Amino acid sequence: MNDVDRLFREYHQPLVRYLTRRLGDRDWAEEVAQETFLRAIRQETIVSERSWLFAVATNLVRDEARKDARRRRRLELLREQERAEQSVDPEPLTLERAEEAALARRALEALGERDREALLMREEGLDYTEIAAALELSVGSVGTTLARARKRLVEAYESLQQPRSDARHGAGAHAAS
Amino acid sequence: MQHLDEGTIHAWLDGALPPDEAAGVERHAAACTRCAEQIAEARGLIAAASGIVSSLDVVRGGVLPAARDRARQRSLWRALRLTPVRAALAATVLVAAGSLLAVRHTQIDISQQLVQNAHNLPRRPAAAATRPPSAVSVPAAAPAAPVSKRHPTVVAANTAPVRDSARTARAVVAETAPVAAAAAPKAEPAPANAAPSVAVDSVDAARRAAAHAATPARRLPAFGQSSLKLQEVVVTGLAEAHGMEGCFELRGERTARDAGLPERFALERPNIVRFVNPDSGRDSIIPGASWRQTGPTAARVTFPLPNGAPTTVEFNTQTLSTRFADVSKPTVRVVRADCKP
Repeated sequence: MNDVDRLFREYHQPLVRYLTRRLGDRDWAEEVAQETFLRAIRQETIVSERSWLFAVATNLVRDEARKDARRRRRLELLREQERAEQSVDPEPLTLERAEEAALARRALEALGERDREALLMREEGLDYTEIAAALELSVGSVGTTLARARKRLVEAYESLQQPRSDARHGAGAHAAS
Repeated sequence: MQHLDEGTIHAWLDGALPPDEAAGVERHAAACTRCAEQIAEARGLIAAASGIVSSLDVVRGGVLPAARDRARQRSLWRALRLTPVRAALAATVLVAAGSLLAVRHTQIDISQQLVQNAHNLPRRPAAAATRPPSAVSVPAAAPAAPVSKRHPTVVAANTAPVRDSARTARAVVAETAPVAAAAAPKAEPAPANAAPSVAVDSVDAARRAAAHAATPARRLPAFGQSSLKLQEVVVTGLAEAHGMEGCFELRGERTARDAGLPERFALERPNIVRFVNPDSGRDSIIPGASWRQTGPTAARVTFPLPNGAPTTVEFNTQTLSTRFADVSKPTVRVVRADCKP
């Protein structure tokens, strides 16, 4: 097994999970991960593999976000076509879980870009040094970044959840009356 | 030492501080109440944020093996490389094999009938007639129910009380296997000292036919015997969304306002709130209390207070938040607690 194989086996799954959480789209995440590994193959030396891969993937996501909407629409179309061709059963999702995931995504989107990336990298097990290297931060500021990201995420999630639970409560009371 | 800042607390909780600095934080936290509270809050934030991030996953990370995940991507038709022609051929072979088995089974029945007829002849020896019934009903060669070390629940299912459908299924698997083994067709050996007679030829022929037929008959498992193998049950994150029933407790500093609230309570369907004893047993229903699930991990409970006015507390077990309808900054927090079923 060569280095590329090892790199892929070791980091593909966490990288795709990180990107899926970041982008909210599994297929898109797979594409970015593939591009990341392609670049890793071209790279002669990589000092810190994990932080390098996550940094490149993050930069690719940022680049992608800057590209024109036309190309993105085309990708969407291609993805839809691919989905239609594949006879894959969708994952069973309960309504509650889908709602929960949608809330979580909206809460995550409410964070600043750096906070969001630091948090998602930490959730993938990157240590402070790796996060600092990937996001070009000082190691000392990672703790503060994470503290802020976590607090804001939880606050955003709660504030999003509040009107929903009020609406449910109101609907329940209305139904009861 | 100054109070700890949030960044240091999170770094310490994440294990990112060097040992000497971590020891300093630990010492300070032990002596400083304010910082200890902040640490507790940071712990809650870390857990809550992690839970929120995890809920982004359609399949939670590490729940399903990667191989299975990939396998789900391909349809069965593609995986088996089946085309309609191949499927038709396979179906034909299957029908033919089934017909063959049916014919052979009929032959076995005929052979057994012949053996039975032979045994019923008038000159049947007494030894054969007085054979202990145990030798017929449970022969040593009869295969016992397969009990794998990897599935100890199969063994336990025989004696454990049946509580849920999954366990029922295990019990059925464990109990039907020996029954099926005993019910499988067995050729009864002919008596060794059968006297020569005009019936000898037919008996011998029947014995040979029975011996011939019995071998494959033993190899063939009874229906349901070999196919029912208990697989491991995979519990996914879906189980978390099942409801807010269960036991909870109030943690934190109680104020005069909270004095009327129970320290522990249990939520039960449809709308029952019970006291929970200090020994974690469920006690009587709290009169006038009610509850409602307000989210996948959230509930709203209304308690009657001694002064007659009800108070409502809403809490979320994922974000660890607790809100009172009439208190701006609650000092208590509702968390899940263990209790007896």
